[in-house]
Amino acid sequence: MKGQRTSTDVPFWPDGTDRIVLDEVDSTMAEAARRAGDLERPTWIMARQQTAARGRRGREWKNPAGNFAATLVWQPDATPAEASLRTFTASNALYEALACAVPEARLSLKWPNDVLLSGGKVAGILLESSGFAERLDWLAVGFGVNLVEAPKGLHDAQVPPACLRDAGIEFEADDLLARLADAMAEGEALLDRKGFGPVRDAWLSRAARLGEIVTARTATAEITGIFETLNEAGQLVLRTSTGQVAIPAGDVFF
Amino acid sequence: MPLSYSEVAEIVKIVDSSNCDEVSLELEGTRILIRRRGTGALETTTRSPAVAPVETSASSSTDAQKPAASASASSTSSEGLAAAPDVGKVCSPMVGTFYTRPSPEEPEFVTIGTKVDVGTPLCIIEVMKLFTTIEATQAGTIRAVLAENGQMVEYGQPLFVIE
Repeated sequence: MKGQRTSTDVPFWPDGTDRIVLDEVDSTMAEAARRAGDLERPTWIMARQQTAARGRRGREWKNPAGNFAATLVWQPDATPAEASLRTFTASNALYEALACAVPEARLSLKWPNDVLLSGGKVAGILLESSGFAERLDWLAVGFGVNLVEAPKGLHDAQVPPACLRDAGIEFEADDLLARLADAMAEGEALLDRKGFGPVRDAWLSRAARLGEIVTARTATAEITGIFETLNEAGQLVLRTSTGQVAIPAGDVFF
Repeated sequence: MPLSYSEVAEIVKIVDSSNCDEVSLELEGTRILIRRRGTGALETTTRSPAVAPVETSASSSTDAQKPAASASASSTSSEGLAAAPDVGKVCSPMVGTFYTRPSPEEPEFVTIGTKVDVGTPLCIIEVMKLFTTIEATQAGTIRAVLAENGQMVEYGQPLFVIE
């Protein structure tokens, strides 16, 4: 880690939230885990360059220079099940932040939290937490957005990668961070005030392939059915030939 | 004053390492009683946690009442431990996919026989791309792993037995 600085005078920055901007770090998720116990307030950690970026289950996350990498870490008063709903506040927030520069007709969401640009994966969101069984010590929500370059050589991609620049859209990382932080704070306030219902409604209104046939691949099975809705826990609900199936974890393929 | 789950686990750990047979705490509506099960365990071995289940008498739903903070008293076989409901078990806090390793290329967090402290990572549960590392709530030795890597687990499903 080097080159730490704190930027100021960025519009929209939400009250009660801190921000750390690093020139280089191994991974903003790893940095969040290291700092989690010492933080007094929700804190965003953004890095200009990640040397060991990672995605789901330790998968490599290709992060070319100029792309966006940031993690929000805090200590929520939440059970793991409650914390998992942040997968939807996070994807809603990133959708709203990108919609400042991207026509909404080109944006959509794929369960549980991928953001798509014209059907291609333009961003990934990863959540990590740690703690004893019933309460979390901390929660980290990491965002990677392909601002200038789509990663190449992906072999397990569910949808093709996409990037904003290739679509003719320029978005500065600092601007995106400020808009994302603002949208995330609003999403947290909505979840706290009104529960998961309106968060789910907003997510479903942006969902790709709602009402269409999709395939969900879990650790042990592959299930194909009509994407009906999300249930009250955020699980993917598919209508299959044998009835309704709720899926708590897995990857969705179109 | 509601106690956090980690505070209760810490209290159990302190009592476990002491010579006390019984500790009673009362904090604004919540009473916690931690008692060793019989006197023989304390005298015969220090390896066994020899701490009876945390008992609470309050009617409030504070974290202090979560059962997973309990420990086994005298069972030494994994069969006996598995058969004792909620005693010395770490249960899943949510529905999700159970992983024994940090990533597919890395070794398992723990296996049978691994000695753990309070806070030692045991496994990961994934739900909707939230990966939660579950930590041990008591010190001891892993006596049983009750779920398979990659298995879908239910809320409250026992995952480990710690003696």
